[in-house]
Amino acid sequence: MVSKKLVLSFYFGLITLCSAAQNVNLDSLLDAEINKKNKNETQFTGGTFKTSRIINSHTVETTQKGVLDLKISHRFGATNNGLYDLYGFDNAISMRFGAEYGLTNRLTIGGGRSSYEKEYDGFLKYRLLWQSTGKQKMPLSVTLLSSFMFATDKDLLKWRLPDPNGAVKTSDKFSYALQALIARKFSSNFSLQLMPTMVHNNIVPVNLYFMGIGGRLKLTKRSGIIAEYYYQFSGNKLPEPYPYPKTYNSFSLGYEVETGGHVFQLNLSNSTGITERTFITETYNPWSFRNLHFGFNISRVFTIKKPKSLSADMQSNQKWSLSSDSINKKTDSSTQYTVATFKTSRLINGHTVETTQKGVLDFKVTHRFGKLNEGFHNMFGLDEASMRLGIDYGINDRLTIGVGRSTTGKTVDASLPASESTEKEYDGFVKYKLLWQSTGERTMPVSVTLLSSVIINTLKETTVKLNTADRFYYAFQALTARKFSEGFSLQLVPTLVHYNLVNNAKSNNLYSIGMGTRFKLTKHSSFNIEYYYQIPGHKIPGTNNSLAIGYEIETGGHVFQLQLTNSYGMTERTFINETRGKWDNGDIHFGFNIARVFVVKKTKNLQ
Amino acid sequence: MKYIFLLVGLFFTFYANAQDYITRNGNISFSSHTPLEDVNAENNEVASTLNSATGAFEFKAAIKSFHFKKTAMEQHFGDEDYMDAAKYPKASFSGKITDLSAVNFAKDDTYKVTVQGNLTVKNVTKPITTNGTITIKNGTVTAQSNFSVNRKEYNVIGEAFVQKKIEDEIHILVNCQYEKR
Repeated sequence: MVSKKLVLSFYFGLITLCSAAQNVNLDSLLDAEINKKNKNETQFTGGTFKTSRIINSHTVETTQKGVLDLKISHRFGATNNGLYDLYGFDNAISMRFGAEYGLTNRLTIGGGRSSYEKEYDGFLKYRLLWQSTGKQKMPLSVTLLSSFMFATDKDLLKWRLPDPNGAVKTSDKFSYALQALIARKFSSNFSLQLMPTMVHNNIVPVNLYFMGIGGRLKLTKRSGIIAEYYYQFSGNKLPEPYPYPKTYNSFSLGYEVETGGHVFQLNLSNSTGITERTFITETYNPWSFRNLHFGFNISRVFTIKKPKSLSADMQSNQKWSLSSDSINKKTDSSTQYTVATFKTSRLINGHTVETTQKGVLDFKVTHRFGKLNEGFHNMFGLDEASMRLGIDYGINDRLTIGVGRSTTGKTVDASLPASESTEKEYDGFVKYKLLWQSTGERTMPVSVTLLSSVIINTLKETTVKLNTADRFYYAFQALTARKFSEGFSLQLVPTLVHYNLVNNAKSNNLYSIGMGTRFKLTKHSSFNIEYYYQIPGHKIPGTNNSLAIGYEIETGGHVFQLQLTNSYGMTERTFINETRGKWDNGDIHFGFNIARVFVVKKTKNLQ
Repeated sequence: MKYIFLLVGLFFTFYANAQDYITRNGNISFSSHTPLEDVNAENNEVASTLNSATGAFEFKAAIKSFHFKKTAMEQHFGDEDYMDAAKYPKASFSGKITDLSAVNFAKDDTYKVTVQGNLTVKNVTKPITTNGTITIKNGTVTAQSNFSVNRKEYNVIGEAFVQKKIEDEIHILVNCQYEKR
């Protein structure tokens, strides 16, 4: 006979056991389900590389279906030219502008144009094998690339003919490249790629074979180091009597950052070309610190065809504004200060009343290309460019300081005085917002900002010998503007530019008055006009008034401005007083400005 | 006497067991809508249990099982500044139906209920209360609920430039069909 206590405890034990069994361990249940799913489904590896290029070469990555990927690449001059040429920045040896489109997730079509040898390129890329885990395992991704290049600069091609005085046939201008891109994403931190390559130049009767190797090492969640190297197989020697200089293996090293739909890369390379033919087969300098070219690549994706579901791509057009009116309204209790009279501190060439917010760094990149009337062969001026790189910093909301460096490019007309030829200018300024348009308790109908800047021309070779003092120019402006409505702002700018060295004008002080307007088109875009009228008697003979029209878009922390202007310079002295172009003649320069703000010091009001 | 104990004991064990409902393929989706961007994601692999005796609800969802149409969005979702899926691979909810008596699990009908409990996302646990419905039909239980949470309370922030593209209030939709265990 079993004791009652034992039976009782047995049953209570059974009850608790059964109730304990109710507490299903959801964790292990979920894990088991996921493991089962992983075994039954195939997970395709994404993000072997962040974009479709390592530095110069393609990667296994193809563009997603319906997405357009825009590419801008620059390669500057050799760093061994030292500080005078700002380590090569002044000579943008080659620029490539291109786009690629995902026809399907595996098939990409793309093309572009490089300024180096005025080369057009086109390609098709097919992802044959896709690295995956799960049901179907694939250890590697393999993408096949087939591209062609068409160089249109006859003069540069001629020297490659056996007879340099011979004619260049159309077929001579073509080159082809075939690559098998083989890559493996070892972990989220490291990917490696091999690129067996064949390049065929029609002008040379030999196929050239290379083995490329490249990789990416992750540094932080959005940045990484990238590198690529091409080894030329010996026995690839070009036969006599082709007068080719010695070529070297191409090696490039880069730093890559992914942000906001862009992939930015900064790189160093001994190659100057950006297409397969040029960087793989025509690298004329060995890798040494004297011969490096700095360059950058920008990739930006745009979703052209939205996927069927409602969710949109995070990388698609960003219309977010850093300085949107609704966020940045400065208020004390009863006064509303007008913000965003203009979207950024430059209208087109000239300043606006806007000052940079406290603790914010505003990075400026400005390009002016050659003239549209240079025609199609010079891609309507795109092949030559003058550039300004600058930074504005807000010490407080009313006081901004800034510096910049400009280089105006080649002169077209050698008979022009030194001021329109190649220049290397440094400029610095201080800007103070004296009056701030406001409503409420304190009303102020306009904003007034005082600008004081100094410009120094550092070019060594000038037609006239210059003393140090001669190189200094000063500009003073009282920028006065009113924001009439959300859609319209108007600015007037009485200006004085002081030349230490009088340049064909009657006096050192040249007065002018500028006028600028902004017409809002959509929530984040506008149409801007800027005109500077030189007061009669204060005009350098042979110059014209500067007129610029522009289209401005604000997106993701950037303000992009595309413009047409008859001015080539980007500092007050050059664009106001030394504009030689005439709109009637077609002396119109296409250009762009990019402004990007970075918050250096977080303040309470900052978004 | 011992047979009474036996019967009582057996009665309790059967009673306790028969009231468990479970699903391995529950559906939870969330969305956000701003003039700039629409975000929609769905998870069809949610594990959940419902105890019809106590009203206890448990949910567990793997972050990696939330699928977006665009792979880029899905990849960013698991990143450190969003869900940090590497560190916190699951989100969970543990709570109960507060007015359990309103539901009759034996009768086919739709019942309105209130659920109260703790939601744990990215290692942050916060109490939430929500309304929902429990539908009984042919022995299966369907639980549905619609509620919003403020993502910032759970540290799901994202990069600076996306703040205007994602609402602070994320709308969550739960739709799980349970079967008796």
